[in-house]
Amino acid sequence: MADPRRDDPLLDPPPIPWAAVIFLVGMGALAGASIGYMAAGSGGALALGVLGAAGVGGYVLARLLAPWWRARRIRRAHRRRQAHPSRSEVGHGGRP
Amino acid sequence: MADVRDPLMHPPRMPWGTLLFLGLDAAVLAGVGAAALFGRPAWALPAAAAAFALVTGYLAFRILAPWMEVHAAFLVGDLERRLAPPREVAIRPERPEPTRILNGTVRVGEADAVEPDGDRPIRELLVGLIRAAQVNGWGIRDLVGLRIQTSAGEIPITDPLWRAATDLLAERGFLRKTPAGSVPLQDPEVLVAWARSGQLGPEIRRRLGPYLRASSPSPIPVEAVLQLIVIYFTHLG
Repeated sequence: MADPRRDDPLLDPPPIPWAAVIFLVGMGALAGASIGYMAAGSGGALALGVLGAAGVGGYVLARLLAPWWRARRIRRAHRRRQAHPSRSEVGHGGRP
Repeated sequence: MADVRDPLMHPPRMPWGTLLFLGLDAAVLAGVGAAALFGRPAWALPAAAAAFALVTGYLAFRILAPWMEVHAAFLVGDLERRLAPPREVAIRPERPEPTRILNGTVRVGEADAVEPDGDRPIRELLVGLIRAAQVNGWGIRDLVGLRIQTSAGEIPITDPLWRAATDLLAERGFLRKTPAGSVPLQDPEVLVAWARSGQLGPEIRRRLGPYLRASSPSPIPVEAVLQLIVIYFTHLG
């Protein structure tokens, strides 16, 4: 069931599909470890496995969260501008 | 109860069974292929694991990536919509404006808005006539001098126009014509509802159309321009 509290996509972070993310991280680790083992033995498997897991996980999470961070930053800047308008944006305010 | 998910807000479900099947399929092919091609059975397991991980990871990402794009586009659109300046005044009157008679002109209000079809001016004319008669009386003496604002211009209520309109309404059983004036046989709201959106028919267009055409002013007064040219040349000569 959709979360009824999640009503503002600009304030709440997007829903993270954790099952898919963990699966992708595992697959990144497995692919890295397999290729590393074939290329350089156990040391290579460990190094490329960790690298694969971290790279895939970081990339997927960044792809999910970066647009929300950007939108949130723009919105906050807009609200700040509205609260404290610069001199050029202020009208004459009744002055002759 | 079915799980209702907004595709813009919630990530898609993963077909885990299909993913694992395709991954295992790729793993078997890669394991057998690696052992047969390179002649090293020890590479079969790592090759199978790599193929499983790469295929399932690729497929899962192919499912997830479009949703990430859609969600990002939705966020940008939502942000633009919220930051955009208001385009029109959102405050509207609580009740639609009724038809009014102001300075002798009947103005058909929003409450009596007619179908915006090809007969719109005729409908406005009929609504204006019915409302004017409802207020002032159903005889021509009660209505003469009034004008009706239509989308084709202001139409003065004249004796021939009133005669034509009442003939048409009488033919449809809406009123009865007597020497003393017309007597409505149905509630004026029924007449107005018919005039607003009912079937008018060619007879009404044929009889009321000329009054609308006569009222719309010619865009170029040709005779006046010709007369001015003649006067100009006569004086020069």
